Amino acid sequence: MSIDMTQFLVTFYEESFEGLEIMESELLNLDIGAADAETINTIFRAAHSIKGGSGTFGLNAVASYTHVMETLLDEMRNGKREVTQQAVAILLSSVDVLRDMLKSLRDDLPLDHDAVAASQQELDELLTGVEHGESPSSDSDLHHAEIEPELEPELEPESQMGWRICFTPHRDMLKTGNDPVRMIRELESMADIQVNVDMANLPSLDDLDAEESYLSWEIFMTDCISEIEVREVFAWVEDECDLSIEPYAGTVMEQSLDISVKSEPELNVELLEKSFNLVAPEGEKIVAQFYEQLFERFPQVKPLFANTTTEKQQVKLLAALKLVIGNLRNPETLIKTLTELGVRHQAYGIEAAHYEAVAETLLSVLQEFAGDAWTDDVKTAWSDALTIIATVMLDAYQADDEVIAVQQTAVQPAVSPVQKTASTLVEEKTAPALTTKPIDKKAAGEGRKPSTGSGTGETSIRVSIDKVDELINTVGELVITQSMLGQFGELEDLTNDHQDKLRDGLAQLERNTRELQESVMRIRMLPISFTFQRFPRLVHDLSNQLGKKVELKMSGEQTELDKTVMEKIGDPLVHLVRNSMDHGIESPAQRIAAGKPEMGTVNLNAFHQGGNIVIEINDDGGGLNAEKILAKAKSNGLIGDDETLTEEQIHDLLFQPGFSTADQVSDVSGRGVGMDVVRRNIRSLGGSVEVKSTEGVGSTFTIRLPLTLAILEGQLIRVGRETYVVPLVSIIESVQIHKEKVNVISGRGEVYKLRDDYIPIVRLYHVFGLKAESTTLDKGLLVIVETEGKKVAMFVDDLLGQQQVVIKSLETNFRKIDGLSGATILGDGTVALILDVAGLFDLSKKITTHTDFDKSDEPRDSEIDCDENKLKDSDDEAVA
Amino acid sequence: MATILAVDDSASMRQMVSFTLKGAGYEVVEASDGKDALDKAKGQKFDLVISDVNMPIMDGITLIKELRALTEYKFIPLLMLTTESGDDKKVQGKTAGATGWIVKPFNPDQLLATINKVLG
Repeated sequence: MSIDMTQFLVTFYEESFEGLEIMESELLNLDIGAADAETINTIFRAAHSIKGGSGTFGLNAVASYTHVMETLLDEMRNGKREVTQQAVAILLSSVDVLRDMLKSLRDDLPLDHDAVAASQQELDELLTGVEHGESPSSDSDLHHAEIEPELEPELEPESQMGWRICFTPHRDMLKTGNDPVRMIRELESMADIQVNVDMANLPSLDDLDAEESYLSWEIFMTDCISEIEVREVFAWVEDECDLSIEPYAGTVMEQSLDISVKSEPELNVELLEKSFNLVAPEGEKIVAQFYEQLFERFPQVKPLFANTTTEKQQVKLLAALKLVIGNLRNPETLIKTLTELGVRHQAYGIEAAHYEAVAETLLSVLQEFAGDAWTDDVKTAWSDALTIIATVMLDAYQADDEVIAVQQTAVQPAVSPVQKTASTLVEEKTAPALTTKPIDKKAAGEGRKPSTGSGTGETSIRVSIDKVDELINTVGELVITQSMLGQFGELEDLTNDHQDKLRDGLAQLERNTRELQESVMRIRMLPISFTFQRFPRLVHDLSNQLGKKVELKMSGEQTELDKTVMEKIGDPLVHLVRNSMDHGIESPAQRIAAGKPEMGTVNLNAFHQGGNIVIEINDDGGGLNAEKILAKAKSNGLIGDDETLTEEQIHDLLFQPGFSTADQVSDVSGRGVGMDVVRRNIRSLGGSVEVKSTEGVGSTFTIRLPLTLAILEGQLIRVGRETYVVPLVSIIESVQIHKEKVNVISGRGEVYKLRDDYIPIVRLYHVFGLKAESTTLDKGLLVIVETEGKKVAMFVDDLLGQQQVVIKSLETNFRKIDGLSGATILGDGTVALILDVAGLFDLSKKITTHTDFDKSDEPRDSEIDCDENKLKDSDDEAVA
Repeated sequence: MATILAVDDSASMRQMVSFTLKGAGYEVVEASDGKDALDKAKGQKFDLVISDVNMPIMDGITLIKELRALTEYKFIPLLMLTTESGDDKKVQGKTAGATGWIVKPFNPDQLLATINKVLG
């Protein structure tokens, strides 16, 4: 059977990456010097599984790399090796290397072989305690996994040699589930064997404990079987039996002939052949005569032939005689044939006495036909031959008795091994021995086949069975509703009663649809721990690198989030955590000086709030220095020298392109990726990020993300003839405009005074270059939206309904447009664009606002051009 | 056809073992650790148990010890999956009552040959 091993690789990669994550987090948990045994065992187990799987699935490079890791961990587990900081660091870096190796195999990507080699050397050195170069032992360890399976036993040159095996199971061998029959059968599948059983130790039935083994066997085997192969058969019971395997000169054949020789008769081959050839032409008559005489002389044998006809028997006998005589010079076949015959005759119920009857009758008949040629010599030759034949055939019987004994002892039904020997003696020499053969080279082709292109692992998702059940349940309800509604289709007229029912049905359909949608969305939801789990390692490495002491606390790891959002939020989160550690947490000395504990804390929290998931990154570091930020912003020209900003606005400067507060660009953050990119990435997910900080106490970055990217609770608004969708979460309120509350502020355009707030007004028709129904502010409505702590009042013609909309990406279907986050299809089939509130805010700032109340403000062509240029500008910036 | 309990904490190994044996006509039930296996073995009689050694919750050696203590598993073949370096595990396993072992890495043919031999 050939099985395509690559089909298991997807699972293997998945569990290996999980294993690596476990290794990583547990390595970080290890207390240096006082390592918890169970923790080490968990790490060991993960490495062990990856090694076992990679070996099995033919990823030999991975297997041999993991082998050294496993050995190290095994030594730690057994207390033979100390858990040192250095060892943990090396193991952590080897986790990274291993992850890269697996990724490159999975995705068919190029691998940094130098990095692998360097890491392997590091591991080897750690293992052997040798500083430089490869010691011979490390070298052998390195390739251990590849070399090991080459245990192909060599055939011994003396192919004629056989083995005499004495096999005495200990009394309780059966209690490990080992059956002697299996071993005898296995030997038999390898070569011709002759089995003698020793029943000397078999107690009387009264004393016999059916659960114990009393028999022992002497097995002769021939053919070119190596001792290793023979021993392999008994490998499992080495300690549960007495076993001796000694060379035996001779074949089974000779051995069995020796046995037959014991009763003195010898085969006079020449005479037998000569005399048989003489009578052969009259063979049919001979056999006919034989049966006639047999029944006459020994009427008691007649019942034995009840199931056959004499004619058939005659044919059989003649064939048997010819076969025996024809194979006199071919003892192997002869024995085999006779043994088979013996087994069959035993089944017929033929006993030893019957053989004598047959021999006597046959001799008499042959004499009759041979006439003068029937000399004394010929008679002796035939008589001896028949005795030998009878002995060999009866030997087969005896063998069967032995097996019955075996069966009784083993208390298990089993096919007689020797009976099977008889029929398959020469066949099946293939010995599928349990040696560790090298893995099929084809399967071992580093198993790259299945995952061409993008990672297969990333496209699969593990869903808890509860979620699937829930989905099935909902679909079941939907089907019921559908059949209920289906009835109305057959009605000619709808009575009032029907209409009520129809309404009920539609309400039910709506509920089913919503539930179905929720169930499906839930399938895509994963706990945020998938993203969080990388942070302990990150913080560990980074605190070493920065020479700071930092403790990471995480909460809300089980908060669920859409898989796509999860994948995309990883990098921004890493950036923010790095930022907190690098710029936030002070050095231990500074902290002590400031009266804080030496150990800084970074908190990572996730929780649901409304339709959003909120992730907070909080540190108890130095907080943001407003003066420093202002000075920097001014020197960078982000703000004018005389501008005054609120604290919020100052903090918000962090997210402006090209801003960095670190005096020196460090290795950790400031890699050319600024906080502006973080914000942009989060916005592209429909989320927002803001920072709150108190100098000297710490900072908190808050990320808000939609639970899913696929569906949005939307408020439909109308501008001219266009319908837009505003995410409901960002709407604070909608107001009718009171003229007197509108002011124009220099540099900020129109603002609306709502309670104590001045909110900039954005005329949507202007931003999008539409022909609006009302261009004077008092004729429309203001929708106040908030994003990242800033409020905007959108001037629209009308508010329509609220509904959930399915988001279709503009980027994939068209191109990215500032101020829009996507599009959707409404119930009537028309397309509505979804507003990106944050983007809109930025956009509005770039567009000159008009403040006329009465003047018609239809956009002119030139203005539209101008706007488009601005759109383009902002696009370029986004790319930069 | 015989029913086999395949125990391994690695899903890919379980898949491979299960796929191979099912392909050969055996019934296969999977368990992901010793405890899971023991619960399943108590609820249904298996003709053979093939188990990984190093598993969380309950390891293979303990599983074998526990199974052997059950009347219905007194003579049932219990095989361990060990690595070539796991000699001490073999000894521990045998002491616990294991029938024998299959050395990892193994290919489906080797697995099947061994199982066929044991189950006759």
